[in-house]
Amino acid sequence: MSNNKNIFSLFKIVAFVFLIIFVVIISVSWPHFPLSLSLVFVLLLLCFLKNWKTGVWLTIVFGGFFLDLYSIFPPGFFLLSLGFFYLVIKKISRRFNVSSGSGFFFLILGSALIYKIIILALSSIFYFLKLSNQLIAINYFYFLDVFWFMIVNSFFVFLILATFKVWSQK
Amino acid sequence: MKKFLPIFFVILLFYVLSFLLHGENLFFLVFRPTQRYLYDHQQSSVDEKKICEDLKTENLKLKFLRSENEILREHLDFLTSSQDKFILANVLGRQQESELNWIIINQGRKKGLTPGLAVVDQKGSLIGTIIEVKDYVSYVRPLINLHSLVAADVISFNSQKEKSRITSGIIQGEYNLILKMKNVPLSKEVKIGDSVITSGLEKKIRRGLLIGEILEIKKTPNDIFQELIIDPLGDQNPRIVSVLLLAD
Repeated sequence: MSNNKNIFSLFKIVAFVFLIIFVVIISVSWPHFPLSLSLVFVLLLLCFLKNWKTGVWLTIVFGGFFLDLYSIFPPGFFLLSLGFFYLVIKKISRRFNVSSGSGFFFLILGSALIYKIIILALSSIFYFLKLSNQLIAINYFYFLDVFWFMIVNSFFVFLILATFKVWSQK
Repeated sequence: MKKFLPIFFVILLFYVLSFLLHGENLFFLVFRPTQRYLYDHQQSSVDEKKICEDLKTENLKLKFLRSENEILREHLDFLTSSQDKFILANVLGRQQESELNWIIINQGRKKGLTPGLAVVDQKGSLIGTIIEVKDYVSYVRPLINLHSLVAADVISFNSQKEKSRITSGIIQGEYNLILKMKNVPLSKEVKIGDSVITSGLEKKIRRGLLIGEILEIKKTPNDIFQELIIDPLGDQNPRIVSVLLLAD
């Protein structure tokens, strides 16, 4: 019985890693894919909200790795971004009451903002340490992008959570 | 905390080995064909607007050639006598992070690509420059990106006087839509429709690559400079691109 359980959890992990690869490839190569939607970020947030720790770590390691492969930033940039994001969001959810409706709403919306701030901070650190030639500039276009990122990604997370809820009720 | 130390070291080892031993090559080897198929799957239809744009490009090229004959005599130093050496590449996809965006192409260091090389579309219009290279893939910064800066010349051809003038400057992308040439002295006479080409001041970009045409000229009273808005002619969603290599 326990052996079967282990095989099932291993299968789940392998399937999830393939899902991460699929998600990254679709977001990079499908021409109609909205560039502001980060499916790895959405996946990480969903795993966190569903309290699936293995999923969180798999998304951080493999999602970060594949994003790093396609990125102009140095290796480890997205791995660190996702890792730091998880640590911050874990602290926030422990400290504040996020189980209420409005708390939950602000947690998802704020998560997108926190992720963007971490990326901005890391890009600056990497740039000033001369590890990267790319620096994200703060300008009108940047704020517009952050705002749009928050809306698109939060909407997507809510949509998936609502679908889960409807499905589980059935 | 001690529980996580082995996991941390395994992840660190995985990362270091993957990037130091170029483990990404294996990944790209497997997934490049899939990605190419995905990217090529977009519909493309030939419409009147496209034909009109093609003719416009052709017209601009002719205009440019006419004026170039004259400029040739004056700027012989800038021109390369040899023909362009190029490498064809397929676009694998595109990525964006904040206001930075880049196109991923399926040729890399193994084919002799280096950062700074010019990337052109099928009409020969500049669409961007290479910013990073890996063994089998490269990353191209589109010309219309805010971080893209290219030295360019505006060529104004006066058909009555049969003479052409050159205005040099730096063009920069804005909002991933247009190009701007800022700080152009008011004394420089330019008009809407003038063609813009690369000036050849960059080490790895030769002179004469078509960039676009002037769409708008912004002049404000009491200002000593004018600003030129340029409409880029390059294909913004290319599927196949050519990377121009350095002449021998």
